[in-house]
Amino acid sequence: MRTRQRLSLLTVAAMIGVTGCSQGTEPTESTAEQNVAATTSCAGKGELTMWERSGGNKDMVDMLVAAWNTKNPDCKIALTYIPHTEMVGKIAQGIASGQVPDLMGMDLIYAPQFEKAGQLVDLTDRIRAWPELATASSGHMTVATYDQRLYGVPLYADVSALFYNKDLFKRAGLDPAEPPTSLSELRSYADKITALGGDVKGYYLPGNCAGCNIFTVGPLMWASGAKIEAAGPGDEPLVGDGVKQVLQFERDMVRAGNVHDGDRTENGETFHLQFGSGKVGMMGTGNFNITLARQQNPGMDFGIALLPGVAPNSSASFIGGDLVVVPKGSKRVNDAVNFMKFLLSDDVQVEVYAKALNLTTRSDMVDNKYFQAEPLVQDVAKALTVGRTPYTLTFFEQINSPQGPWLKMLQRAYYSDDDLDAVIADAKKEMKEIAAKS
Amino acid sequence: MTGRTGYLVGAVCVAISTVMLLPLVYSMLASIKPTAEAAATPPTYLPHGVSLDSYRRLWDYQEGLLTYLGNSFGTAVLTIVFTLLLTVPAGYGLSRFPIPGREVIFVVLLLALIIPYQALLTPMFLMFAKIGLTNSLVGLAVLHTSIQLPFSLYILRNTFAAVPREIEEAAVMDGAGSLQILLRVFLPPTVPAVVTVTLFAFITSWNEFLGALVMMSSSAKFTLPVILATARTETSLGGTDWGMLQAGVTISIIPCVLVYLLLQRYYMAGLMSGAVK
Repeated sequence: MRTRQRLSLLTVAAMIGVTGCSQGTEPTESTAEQNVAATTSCAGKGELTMWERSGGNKDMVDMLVAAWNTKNPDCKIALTYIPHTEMVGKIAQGIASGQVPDLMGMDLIYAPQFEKAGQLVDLTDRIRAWPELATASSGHMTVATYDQRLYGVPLYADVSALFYNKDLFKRAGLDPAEPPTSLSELRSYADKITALGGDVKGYYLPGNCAGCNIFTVGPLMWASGAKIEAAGPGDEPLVGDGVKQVLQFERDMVRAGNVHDGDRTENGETFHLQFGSGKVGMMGTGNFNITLARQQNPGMDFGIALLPGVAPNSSASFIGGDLVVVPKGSKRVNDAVNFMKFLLSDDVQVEVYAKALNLTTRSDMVDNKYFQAEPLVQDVAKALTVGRTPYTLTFFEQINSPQGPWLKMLQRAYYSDDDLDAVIADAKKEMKEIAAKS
Repeated sequence: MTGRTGYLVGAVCVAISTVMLLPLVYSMLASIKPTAEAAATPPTYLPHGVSLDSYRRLWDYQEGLLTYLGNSFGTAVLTIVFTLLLTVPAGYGLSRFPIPGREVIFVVLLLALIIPYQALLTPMFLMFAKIGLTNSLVGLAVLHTSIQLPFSLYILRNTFAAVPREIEEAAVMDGAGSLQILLRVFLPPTVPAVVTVTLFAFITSWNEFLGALVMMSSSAKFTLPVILATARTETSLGGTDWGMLQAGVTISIIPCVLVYLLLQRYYMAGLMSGAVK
């Protein structure tokens, strides 16, 4: 019996021992600390923790954190990448349990949901007077604002534009200095490039990727005067002739054989590699593709234009990227704010963002020595002036979900013979129902 | 078995093995393709060139491959230790001691098998957060142990119950205490079952993803499955570095295969001994 008790005690002791190995919790930031003026350096000491989603612009974020860590050796940021498909749940769980990082990068499109839910620290009183905010990316600042309160600043920006292969333009007898400025030109140029034969196609259409399509096909609709998402309950989605015109344009592109058959299964995993293959004449993609295409295909000559609409010289772009925000429960809000100030500083905008040929997150920093030496970045930066970011609390459900109405509508339009008015009506109904629940 | 039947059975075995092994071989081949080829669409089945670039990228990925291998291995070893520390005495007690309602207790303990552990993750995370067990390999091992407990207890309890009572009585006559009986009488003939439990605990912990993702909040504490999921969406718009991912898959398979091959003999015997009580 005594041995049996000993065994039981051993078991319990093991569990207690396990518990004893755990970590303690740190005190939260005091009220007095909340009114400290922001600087571009760390005010406190000790490691800052930061989460960022995978699948974003990792190289850019790594460089920004490295620049901060070099400047603040006693206050380095420990950066952790969370699988992006799990990021929203992970943040929500962390906030619920108080196990949050000091700051985090967040796909800007999800920010309104977290702001509405009160899961981010309201930074209005700390940052609203910053002059840098006047020129900070408008798309980012739109979604960083909820109910006239500010919750974050841009971490990095991705914009969509039309990339075109100048080598294929020349072979097809097109002028590489004259990219298409309307959907009808886009179609006729694509026909000519496809006519080159072989495995070259004039256009690229990601057939199974909701995010890729809002990034690259969405702007075609905006440029054609249409509106896509329902902002909230009662708001009408998919408004304007541009929706049907663009769907018809894409359907015709597919039927004309201007896209590869394999494009239909593209779920985003190889989207970024398509243009660099050299087998696509024109495609909507993002600024990140400049460096990538050069790495993939160093000999390829290419140009960048704005994504056009139906009318000549109309254009639009999707401004995406990440915000840097502070989750509720952060113990180092002041230093998180200092990091934001650091990101928006002139020096970082030029010597980190621009030097790496990434877009600056302030429009007044576009005119810098690095961009002047790189015409392609200048071209893609023009997209910032015509870009927008959708604002809705149900972006994932309406647009980004692989089972959502946006992708269902596109796939029916691209690959079926269904009547386009019916296709749009079905998607509209579903989007309104989703928005009504927000 | 006649010669012709033997050939037929052999052919079926080869066919099944081919089907089972083909994905693994393809994964390994993809891991040694040059980066551009690994990402090519349509994919190539056989590498046109050989490159270790994918392994190099994985080696230096975030905190470095060794960190993640170390975390996975450490968690798996702790899981094995915790599982054995809990289930060997529990199986022994439930099979041999006249505990009132022990069958009911046994069934209640097994009921955990029918509840998906994913459903328990959030309450467990909140509980672990209160006692500071989140973001700790020990905490993760405790979670993995809790997943593994019912199955391990089932195997060990039934195995211990199959040990002839006469041997135990002889040990008691010789003056052995309960602990001595467990260690010297029960454990030696039940080594295959203990090995089975060890093997399953290792594989469960080594492969487990969701719990590790939920419990861990810093890159330096992530295990291999979590970092492979991160690597899966490495590039913009969710693009995948296929070469690095396949390199990670290949490396993560190796310990499981090695442990299985080393312990295969015990594993088969152990599974049978637990199953036929």
